[in-house]
Amino acid sequence: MKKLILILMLIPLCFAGWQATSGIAILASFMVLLLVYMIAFGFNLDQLKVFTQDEFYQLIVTAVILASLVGIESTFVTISTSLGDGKTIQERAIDDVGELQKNIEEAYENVLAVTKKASIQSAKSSYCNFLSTGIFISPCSAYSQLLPPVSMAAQLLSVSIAESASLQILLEIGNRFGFNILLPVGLFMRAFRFSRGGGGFLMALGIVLYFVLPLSTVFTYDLITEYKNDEGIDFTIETSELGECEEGKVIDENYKEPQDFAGYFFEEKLEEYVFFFLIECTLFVVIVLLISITALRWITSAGGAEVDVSALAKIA
Amino acid sequence: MGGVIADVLAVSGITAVVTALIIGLIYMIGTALSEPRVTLWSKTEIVQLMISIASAFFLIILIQSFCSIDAGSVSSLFMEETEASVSGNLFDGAEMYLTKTAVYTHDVMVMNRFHMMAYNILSTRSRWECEGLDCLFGASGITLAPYAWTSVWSTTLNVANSSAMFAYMASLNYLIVLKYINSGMVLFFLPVGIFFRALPFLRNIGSVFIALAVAFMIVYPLVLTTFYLMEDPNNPVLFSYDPLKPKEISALKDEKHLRLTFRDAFASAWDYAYFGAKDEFAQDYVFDEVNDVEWYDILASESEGREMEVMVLAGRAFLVGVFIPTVALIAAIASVSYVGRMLGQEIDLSRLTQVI
Repeated sequence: MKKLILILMLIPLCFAGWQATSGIAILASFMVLLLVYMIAFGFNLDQLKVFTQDEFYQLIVTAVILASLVGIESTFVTISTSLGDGKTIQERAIDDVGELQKNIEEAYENVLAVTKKASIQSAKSSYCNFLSTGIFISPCSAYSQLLPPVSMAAQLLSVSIAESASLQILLEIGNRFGFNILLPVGLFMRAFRFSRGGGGFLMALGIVLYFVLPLSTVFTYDLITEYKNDEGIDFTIETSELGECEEGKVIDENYKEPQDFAGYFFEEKLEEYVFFFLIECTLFVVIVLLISITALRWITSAGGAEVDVSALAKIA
Repeated sequence: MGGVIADVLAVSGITAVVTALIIGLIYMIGTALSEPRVTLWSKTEIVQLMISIASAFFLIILIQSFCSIDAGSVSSLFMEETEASVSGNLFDGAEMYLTKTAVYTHDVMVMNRFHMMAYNILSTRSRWECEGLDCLFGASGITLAPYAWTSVWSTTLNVANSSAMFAYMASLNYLIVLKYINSGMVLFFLPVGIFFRALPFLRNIGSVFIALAVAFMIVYPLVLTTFYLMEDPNNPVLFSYDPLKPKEISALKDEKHLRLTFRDAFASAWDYAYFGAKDEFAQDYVFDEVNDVEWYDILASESEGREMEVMVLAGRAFLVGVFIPTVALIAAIASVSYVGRMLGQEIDLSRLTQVI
């Protein structure tokens, strides 16, 4: 008996990091249930004994889930670090989102440069009056027609910046705390019937943030990058093409007029703009989040906790 | 919380005794009238009363345990190489998370508003340039609006501001729910639940009340505290202001220096400008504090706002203010279903999330 207790106490020391805390969570749950069973046995409460036996069975299921997660996690880490530069899939996902943020910031600078030029030119006006008779013209106001689509593009980009920042934080949480905090707390809560729903949900959240979210981020971003490279898509706007109103001329003949600049936008660059704004900036994050929420729903059901996660889907 | 627990114990005890007396009285009447249905009902109800008392007792023990567990010790169990960044018990952890969230989202809102106000001021800047001899008599010239482009910034910052404002209001909403729970929600729900569960036709309502008390008293604060434990002051994740520097943050939160006087506008006109975009002094005057420029460098500096960084923070604010507390609410609602099943009642509160 003493040897058995010693072996049981030494088991957590065989693991490191999240495995130790998860093992401690399982052990703590076992101790609590044991205490309840002893009370039921001592007071001869049959209903409580049956209840506790049922909970012991659930605890065994939880321990099996933990054991399978240990195996899956080590396999996952081995495969992901062998894929290329020795980084884990979580680190690669964080780098990919960082790269996306840089692309968005560059695009934002481009859009801002066009906006600045177009706005300032469109706001120029000339006046001349003599003895209460005069004229007032705004010869470059045509540039103002470029502003609505550019403004919409800027709004899309600002939403994308915020979305990618949120995604980055979720990836950081998953990488640092998904298996260190969320999983052990979820395991502990899952061991008791009254908190099984919440515990199962927290466990599923930890698994999704650690595995599913980075995986879906890396694969989706790799798909997008591959398509960009294959099609040679390079989102840049040549702001030098936009001319200035100069003295004596409506628009400098050396530069594009507004309708030509609009043509340059929509005929030469349309596919790239649509791809960048809609696919890379907006749809990418939405797809990743929807995959994760679907996985969350499935994992909570598989763990025996039916949880309605539609509220998270609405927020996403 | 200690006072609340004492009150809950007292009220629950009184309720249990009163309910037991009522059931005992009905049992006596049933025995006197030789009504087996009445005596059978009494025996069933006394068992249910025991279950309700056991649930209440269990909940009170859990609450007392949560009050005595130190969140800092739990944090050091999960996180290596960190100072004790958290303090208080597990209930305090939940409140501190939501308080920090409210402060963070409010800061993001203020910084966003700073930019919107700055660009609003700049958009009114206009100047007149001379053209020809007639301008000496005020008869001709060119009107320029060097900051006409700020309207696009205002539109995009509006989007970020709406997001930050929504996150701020959501975090306050969740904080009020937590304060209501901590102030004694269990003081009402638990005794009433015990009493109702022992009565015919009201067992469903009693089960709902006890399930709500257990789930919202235990699971909701526990999940919030779990996320609070993740915050490491040396390497913050959730409440990080990165990439803004501390001086930039304090400048963006201080609206007192946000002004453009006539003297500033006049001085900015001396910036060499022919036709077009120069006139950057006005922007410098507005953003020099943010860029931490000394007065003797004002002429040489080109100060800019921090719009990109503030939009990043708006995204983070949405996550900590809306997403994470919603996760806690969903976990609590899921627990309500399980506790309800334990008490013999199917409860579905999933529609509660539609308030979000």
